[in-house]
Amino acid sequence: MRMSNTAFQLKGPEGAGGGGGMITADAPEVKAGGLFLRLVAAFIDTFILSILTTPISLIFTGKAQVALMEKDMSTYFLFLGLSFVLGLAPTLFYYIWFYTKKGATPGKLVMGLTVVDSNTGARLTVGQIILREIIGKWVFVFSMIFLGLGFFLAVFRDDKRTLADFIGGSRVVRKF
Amino acid sequence: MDFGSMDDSLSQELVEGVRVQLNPAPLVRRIAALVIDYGIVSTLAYAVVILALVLFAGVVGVGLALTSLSEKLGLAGTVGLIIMALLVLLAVMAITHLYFIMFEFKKGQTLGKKVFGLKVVSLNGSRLTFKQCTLREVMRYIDGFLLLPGLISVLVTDRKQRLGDLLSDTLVVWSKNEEEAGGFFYVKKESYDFLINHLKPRLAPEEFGKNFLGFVNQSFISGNYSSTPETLRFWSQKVDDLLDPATKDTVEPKSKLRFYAEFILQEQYKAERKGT
Repeated sequence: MRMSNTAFQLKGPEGAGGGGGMITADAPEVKAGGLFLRLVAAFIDTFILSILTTPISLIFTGKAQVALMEKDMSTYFLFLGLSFVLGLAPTLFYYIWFYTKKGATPGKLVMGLTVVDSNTGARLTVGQIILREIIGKWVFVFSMIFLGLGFFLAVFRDDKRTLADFIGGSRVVRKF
Repeated sequence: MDFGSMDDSLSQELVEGVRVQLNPAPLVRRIAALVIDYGIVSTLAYAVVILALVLFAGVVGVGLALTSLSEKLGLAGTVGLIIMALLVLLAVMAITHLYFIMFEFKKGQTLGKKVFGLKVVSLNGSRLTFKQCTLREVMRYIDGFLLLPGLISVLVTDRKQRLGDLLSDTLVVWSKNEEEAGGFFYVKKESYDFLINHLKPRLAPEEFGKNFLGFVNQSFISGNYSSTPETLRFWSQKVDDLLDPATKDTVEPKSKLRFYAEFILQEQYKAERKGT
């Protein structure tokens, strides 16, 4: 009976009861997520987000341009603001939904990375996500101006935590 | 938002005489998986385009440097640009289609599908053939035409198949278990599922949980702090009190600590899911 591709097979715990000794739990090996993998993950996330936000911003910035040509400044700023807010909403939803439900964004999941609380290993709370992604990344942008200090912090650390990770109390790990 | 529930499962007779409980994948999950896949594909395509531009600029630069008659390069340059554009288009199409075909053929799921616990299965129960994968991929052009044919097909068929699925006799299924497998940190899901029935743990007070997680994380994961035999014994004793007394001695102490840490996390996630 060939079932391997037809249904998700239930695997017994490897090593459970094996050897006649005590039962051991099969644990993933956890390593710090490397910067190159995280960079690729960030690229993928950017592209996924652009699929979601480009149609919105195209529509609203288009309307804003039309208003600008008609010298209707209040409508221009209204649509420009709408484009910004409605573009930001999917981005925030994306980060919060994926970090709380799966512990990582799709780009990170694809590269085998997970973002966890640095103290407990739990998934991030909404507060931590906002600290990490909004405040942390803002500081990150400013630190980039000063030679990318926040980013290169990770190069010198074994646990590869960046400034944004410290602000959010998080760390990025790779589970094998 | 309807992300699907386990109730709309469909009993499938994939192998004769054996009925397997399979859940046709909820539409929202399939769309989300597709968005992720296109994100990955466009990242790859972007890399190819950038590479091609750099190469082209290099070739043109060298050409201009070697021939002093730069105005004669006009026609050759235009032809070169068109050829390059066609090559890039070909490369991008190859990346897109090979990504879907090869991942579904080799693993039964693309990376986006894996994130959402989806898998493509063949209705006759055997492994997906290359022909099936290719047909599914080619039919994407028709299914995706103004988004309508595929959408209508998924909505009206009770196995939620798009036209490509119907033609190639395949079905996209969703397994909640598979989807949640990635969310385990201290022990793998297989071990967890076994141990939770074996050890029958009781939940600890919240304050205890926080301190305990800190201890396990520091000593087993981040390696900032190595546990002394005394602290190990202290926490082991505390955890033992919360496990089934009949089986607690059959599990190796460190595995037990890791398992209990995972138990606290999983219970925490479960409570959050109920709360929202």
